[in-house]
Amino acid sequence: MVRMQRIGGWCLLGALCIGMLGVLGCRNGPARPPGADDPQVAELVQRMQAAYDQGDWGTVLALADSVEARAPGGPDAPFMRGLVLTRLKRYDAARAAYEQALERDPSYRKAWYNLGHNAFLQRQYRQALVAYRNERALIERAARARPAPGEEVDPQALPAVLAQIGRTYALLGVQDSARMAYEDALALDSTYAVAHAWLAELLEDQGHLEQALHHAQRALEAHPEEVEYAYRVGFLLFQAGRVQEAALLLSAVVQRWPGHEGATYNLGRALMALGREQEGQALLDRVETIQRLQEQALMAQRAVEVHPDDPERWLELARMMLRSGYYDRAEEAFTAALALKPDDLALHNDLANLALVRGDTALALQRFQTLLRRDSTFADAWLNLGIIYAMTGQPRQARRAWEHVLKYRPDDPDAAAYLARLPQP
Amino acid sequence: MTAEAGLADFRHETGAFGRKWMPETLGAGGGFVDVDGDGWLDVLLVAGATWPGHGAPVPALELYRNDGDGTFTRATEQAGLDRLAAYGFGIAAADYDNDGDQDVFLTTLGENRLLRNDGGVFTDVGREAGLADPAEWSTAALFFDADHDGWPDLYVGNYVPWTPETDKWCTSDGTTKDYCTPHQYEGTPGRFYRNNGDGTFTERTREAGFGGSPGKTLGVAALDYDGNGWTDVFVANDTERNLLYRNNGDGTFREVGVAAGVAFNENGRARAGMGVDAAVLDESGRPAIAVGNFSEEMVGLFRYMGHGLFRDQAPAARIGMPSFLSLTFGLFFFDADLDADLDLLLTNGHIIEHVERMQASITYRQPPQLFLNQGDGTFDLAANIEGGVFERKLVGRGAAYGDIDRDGDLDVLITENGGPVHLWRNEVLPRRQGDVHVLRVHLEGAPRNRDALGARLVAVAGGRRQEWFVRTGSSYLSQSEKTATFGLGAATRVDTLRVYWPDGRMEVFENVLADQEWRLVQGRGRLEPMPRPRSTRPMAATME
Repeated sequence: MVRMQRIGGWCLLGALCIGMLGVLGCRNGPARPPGADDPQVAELVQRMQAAYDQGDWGTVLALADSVEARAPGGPDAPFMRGLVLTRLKRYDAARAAYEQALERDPSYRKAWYNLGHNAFLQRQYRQALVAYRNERALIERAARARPAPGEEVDPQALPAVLAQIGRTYALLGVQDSARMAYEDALALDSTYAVAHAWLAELLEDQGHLEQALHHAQRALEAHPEEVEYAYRVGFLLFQAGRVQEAALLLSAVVQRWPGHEGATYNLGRALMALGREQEGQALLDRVETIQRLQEQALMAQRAVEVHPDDPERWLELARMMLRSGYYDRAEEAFTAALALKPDDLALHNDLANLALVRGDTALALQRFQTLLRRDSTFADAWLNLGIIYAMTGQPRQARRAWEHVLKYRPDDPDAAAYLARLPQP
Repeated sequence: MTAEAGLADFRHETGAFGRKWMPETLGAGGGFVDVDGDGWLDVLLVAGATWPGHGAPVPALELYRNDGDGTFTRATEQAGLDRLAAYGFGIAAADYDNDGDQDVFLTTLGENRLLRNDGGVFTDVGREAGLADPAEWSTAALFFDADHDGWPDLYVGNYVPWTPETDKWCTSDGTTKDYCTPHQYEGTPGRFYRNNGDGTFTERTREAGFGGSPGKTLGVAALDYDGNGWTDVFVANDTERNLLYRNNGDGTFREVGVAAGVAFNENGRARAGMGVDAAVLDESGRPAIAVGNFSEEMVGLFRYMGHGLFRDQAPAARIGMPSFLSLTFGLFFFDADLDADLDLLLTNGHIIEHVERMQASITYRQPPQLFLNQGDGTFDLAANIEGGVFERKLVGRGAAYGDIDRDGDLDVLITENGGPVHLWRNEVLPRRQGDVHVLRVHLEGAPRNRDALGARLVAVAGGRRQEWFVRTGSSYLSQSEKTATFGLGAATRVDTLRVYWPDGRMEVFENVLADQEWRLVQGRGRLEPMPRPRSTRPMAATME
């Protein structure tokens, strides 16, 4: 009877916090670590961060080994290794890596935060809290110390840590402390969407709908593209009896994310309340199908937690997340599978396709091109590359790509059909 | 007062012997049933079982007779229950054959049992009555008169198709076997049985509109949410959507849970529903449904808004956050402090013994919670007295209420999984005698439906209106008493008491004296005082 954590959609945001803190500021404290003056080490560290940004976790781990070999004793390598291991759900190994980074440089920023997050993801909230507090102390100390140019504290760092402290308190059931932490975060950055969103959720759980709505709207104002924020506002409007406004917003969410169970359900209810019973009922009928998908996704999630080293489980999770419309999580799972199986070209293809599904044609293009540099005979990649070229108004390149498909797979019906649809040169 | 009442030797048996079989986590129910008809509530407990080849068999049910002086005497053998062997879960008690005594339906992992009561001695007539087959994992059950023919029908909730042979290997660490969760199994749909009026039942699941349900049921409750005089059925499911069967007014039903807004939480997600209860909490006359859920899923409090729609108002009622970390199994509405509105008691306890290692904020043993109705749509979590019952951490499962000492207030029974039973005497009346008053009404239907299942009572006292619906089922696998208890606060009499019988007749009584237990037999037109208790002796203070 253990089920998907309530943090649900927000969990995603929590995960984003890792990225933000982990990648944007992998900087050292005041002590100069081994290799700090070695330009080759600096370059390796930069490449390690770039690889992490690109989701190439296998490369991050390899580069971490190189950094360690070149400048043993530095904190960057174990820290970056920790980030990847957390994402691969190898939490014990990740913890050891962060602890190693902190042993090497006790003032290494973001290591405590990610150590906390590592515990948070294992639901070890009290341990998480201790680590977050250490990160907070570190940031405050660094801010007071008038850092040298280039080593200033990221102004987003403290609000992020405070928000995460609030979230942890909320999950421990300590609501007053949670609220205080969110408010502290907002006092530092009144536009910090994550803190607004989590505060909204806390207030909603406490039954303070109007206040919750206010903060949910602030989060949405800050990030109008964030579908989960739009859902929360729509949901709260519905709860507050503002059914017409709710229906508009929820409808937009469902359009962007047809598998969003909450939006589908509440839009269905809202339409029923507005007398559009047929439309409403159709949406409500869909909710159970979405639930089934969620159930399967949950099972896949559990399988990954139990077998984090099995790329097939990650792949299954990625597919489930893709079918449910959780593209971020699908990306995460594909990336994990790829880290475990870096030479699997089909996985590279999946990741490129995912970028396409998400509408990021530039990234998709880049991923297909990278794939084809590794294996120019990979017909599926040529097929999809052709689709991107066609979509972006480059028929000549599309033709060439699909001709490549037929070269390596002469009977491919899709490539033939696409080619037939292209205008003659 | 468990020990001094004579219940200390009871211990629920899960049968666990290391294989981590799923039924071992669910625990069992129990409750208050006046088995011998002497006017004193006896305690009936589902005792669990050992697995074949792994320990000596235990009786499926244990009966403790109320001696009327604050003590109970084990009477399992005298009641003919000592040789009843089954891996039991829940009980529902009603006079299904209308012969004037309380019969008991026991849900089990295999064939369900119908225990016909003849003068305080039970005989298992499940097979003859047509209720034993098919052998499947049944959990919560509910007697109710679906078609108003005066013969109690039966809804049986089922869980999943688990058997030792179909047991799956589940794990949380990849190496050791752990208890499976319902996610790993398809649900087993519930069944509806029509009472033929001759001691037998006929399954009419599909014909009556109960077909196609998702199963994984752990709680069932009877209510009349639309006030049409016909009993509706709410089904709480574990990781599946909840169900609301609206009675079409002819004994057939239509499932309307999703459209009514009770199937999911407010974000459209199915929760892990456990126990359930339904009652009218305020003067609106509209019922609310409370559903116990898993840890990190707050208790659901679905309030009926009219027009067929419910809304989960647990957060606004201030029940949500305080119940967020608890895994709630048994729960029920009752007027704990007799202040003229219904409070809510939750029985909590996790299913994973080592959950603390996995999640810091959750514990295996959890304290029960009492939410006191503030009369304004909100509840306050009752402050505990140091060392009091609400400070004790339990592996709580079943929960039931009943006035065991006949002092007017409602006492509580709580079962633990693989553990003891707890009997808590309510001390509101001894302590506040003269300050608060109570009216208790025991209905007797005639010529049939002796339990008056589906009857509705509306009491107005001191300008406040309260309502009670006579029912079985509710809570988690447990049976509470069916007598209506109206706390009256300072009012010393009930200005009007209306009784709506299931057959559509209505009776009105005015200026009914409080601090009395009345009996009303349908058609007699008068309230008759119930016989006074024979004896009482001081008992330990525990609950207030």
